Amino acid sequence: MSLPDKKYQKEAHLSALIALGMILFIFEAFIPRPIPWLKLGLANMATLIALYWYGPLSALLVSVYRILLGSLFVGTFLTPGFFLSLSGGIAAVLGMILMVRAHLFGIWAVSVVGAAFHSAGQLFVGYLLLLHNPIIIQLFPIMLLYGLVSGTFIAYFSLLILQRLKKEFAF
Amino acid sequence: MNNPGTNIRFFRPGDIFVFLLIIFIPLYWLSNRPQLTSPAPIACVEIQGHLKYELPLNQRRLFYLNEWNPPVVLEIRPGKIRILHNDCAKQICVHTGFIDQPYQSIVCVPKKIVIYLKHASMDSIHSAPHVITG
Repeated sequence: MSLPDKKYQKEAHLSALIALGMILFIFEAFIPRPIPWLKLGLANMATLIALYWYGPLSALLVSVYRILLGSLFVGTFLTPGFFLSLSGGIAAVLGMILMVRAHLFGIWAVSVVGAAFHSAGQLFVGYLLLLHNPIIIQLFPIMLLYGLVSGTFIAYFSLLILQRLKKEFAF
Repeated sequence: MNNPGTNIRFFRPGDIFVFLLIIFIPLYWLSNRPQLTSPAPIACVEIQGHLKYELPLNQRRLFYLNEWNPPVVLEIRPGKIRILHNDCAKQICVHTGFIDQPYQSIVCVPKKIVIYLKHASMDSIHSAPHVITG
């Protein structure tokens, strides 16, 4: 697949990633969860792909836009859940950028640390906006362990997609 | 194609370090959490971030949080507590059931209710939310 004008390729690709992230975000909202606050974070796949394909700023844009648009579709815009998603999403991108910039880690560690930052961001905002109770921090170890599993899962599928994209677009 | 993206590193030795760290930290954290030794713990009920009630869990009874209409109903049995009735949307706090350990809590996000257990001699918070509910 190639677009006629290369000038618009980046916009088209990022739009496709936002759409992918949004669909996964909406899809995941309807998956029953064994524990309510634990999500796989499938939508983070779009952010991870954007990070490796077009860099940190694009990853941040994809993350913010897919959360904004996804929450509008799911009907959680400006609810506490929206702010938790947004803070988690931004924190995850920042964590992944730090890891990538360190030039010491592969996509596996980048994804897992993204999941850990996502949890940390959510807990921090959950503490500030919702609960005002330090016991919420006790959720963090469970979320870290869960993030290890989900981060590895996300890294695997992102890697498969990135390998295909790399062949197709030679980046 | 001149691309500002990042080179894909499939695997680097640093990944193992991160994985081990993320396994070690939670396991250490969880293995060092305090345990209840008293047979009669106290349930702390926080509403909107403020500690409103400290309920000794020594006998079977119902407790009504009359801040709402209809009130949120707590069921207390010796050593454990649950939310019996709450009209929040998802009812997850109700489905959480009884909690009887200091690391468990019941949290209702819509009404900003946190219930956790502490030992009578505990002077600080040592418990963790078991479930955050919507």
